[in-house]
Amino acid sequence: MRNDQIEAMSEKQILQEILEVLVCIDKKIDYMVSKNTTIPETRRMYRNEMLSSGLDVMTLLSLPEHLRTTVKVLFEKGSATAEDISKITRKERAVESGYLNQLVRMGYVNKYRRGRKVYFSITDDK
Amino acid sequence: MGVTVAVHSSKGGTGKTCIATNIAALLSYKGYNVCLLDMDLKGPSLSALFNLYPKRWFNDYLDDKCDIENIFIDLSPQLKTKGRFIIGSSNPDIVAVRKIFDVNRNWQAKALKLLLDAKKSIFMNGTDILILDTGAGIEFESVNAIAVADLVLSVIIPNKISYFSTEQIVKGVYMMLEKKCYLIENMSSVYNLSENKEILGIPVIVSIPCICDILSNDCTNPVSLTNPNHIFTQSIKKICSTIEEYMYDK
Ligand SMILES: Nc1ncnc2c1ncn2[C@@H]1O[C@H](COP(=O)(O)OP(=O)(O)OP(=O)(O)O)[C@@H](O)[C@H]1O
Ligand SMILES: Nc1ncnc2c1ncn2[C@@H]1O[C@H](COP(=O)(O)OP(=O)(O)OP(=O)(O)O)[C@@H](O)[C@H]1O
Ligand SMILES: [Mg+2]
Ligand SMILES: [Mg+2]
Repeated sequence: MRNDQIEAMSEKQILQEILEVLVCIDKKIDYMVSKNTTIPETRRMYRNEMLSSGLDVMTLLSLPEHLRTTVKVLFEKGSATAEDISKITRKERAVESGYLNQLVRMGYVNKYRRGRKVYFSITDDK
Repeated sequence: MGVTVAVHSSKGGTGKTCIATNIAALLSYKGYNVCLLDMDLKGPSLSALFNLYPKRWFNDYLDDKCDIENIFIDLSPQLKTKGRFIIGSSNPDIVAVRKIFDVNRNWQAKALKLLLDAKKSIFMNGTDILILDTGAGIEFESVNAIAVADLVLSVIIPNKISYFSTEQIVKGVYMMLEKKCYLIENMSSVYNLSENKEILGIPVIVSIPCICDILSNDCTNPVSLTNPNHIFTQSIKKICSTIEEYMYDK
């Protein structure tokens, strides 16, 4: 997008644009993860240092508000789909899905499939 | 599912253990099945207070060495309460306490998960109210307890330090975790059961005066059971009603 185009946009429009791009990136990453495409280095680092550890409460307090809200609901539910969570947080399902997948990549949340649905959980048990 | 109450304060020695113990005793006297858990792993109290030497400590559960149900001792026969009154103690031995200072974030992350599992199991086994006696300030163990609680009772004493540090914790922890919370003003210069008071925008359930016979009470027999007319017992009753109201609204 050109600079003059951006300047003509309102703050809300810019945010909307950014959100769309992020959702798109997110989908691509999910696609790669499901196809087991190796994302070099970063993925390996998360695996070793974070995936095994899960989320501690001080880290939870330091998360940005939108992610903290998502994690909090997940703590209460044990495990849930993006849709379950979006009903409680009153955000779009796609938005919650984005947050949840971000948390998965950070190594704080587990993701698994049951039937046709994708579930997320804090604890390891499925 | 039952209700989980964390008794916390920003600074030490405000009366958390004393209040938590008496709330637990009175609620079980009323017929609720109560579980009181010592979450103050860096400064355990309940073992000394009630002369408890269980085969398994809460520490053992967090180290994955036993099930949560293995740590409890039932005090209802001894205290003759109508409901069950089980206590889970943390190990007061200096070696065990030192060990808590050595654990890392991963251990604390796992402790949080184990605490969630423990809650499930405790409520499945018939407990109505779980009371968590926490350590003061921002420690992993205390914030874990707050994170799993439905209701936070924060004990404040009437001085500048307590107000200042409580404000930090209200904003930085209770609000962040979106917890329903109440203040209990302890060691106050006034006795106030009825007035609707707020401090830092949070309702104060009761202001409990400084009472010297509480200070020396060894709690093996909680005042709230032995002396129903005591000012302290009256205050505890008010706190219990607030918990009950919360339970029925839930
Ligand atoms: N002899 C006393 N009689 C009555 N009140 C006292 C006495 N000594 C101290 N206090 C009061 O008790 C409260 C707690 O004291 P203080 O903050 O000094 O304790 P502390 O041990 O430093 O606590 P922390 O462990 O939280 O740092 C204060 O309000 C203080 O004024
Ligand atoms: N209203 C009161 N009047 C007089 N003494 C009190 C009052 N409330 C509590 N106490 C006494 O103050 C002392 C400290 O209380 P307690 O051990 O319950 O504090 P705590 O907040 O649990 O401390 P810690 O932070 O070390 O865990 C105890 O001896 C207790 O009996
Ligand atoms: Mg001090
Ligand atoms: Mg204590």
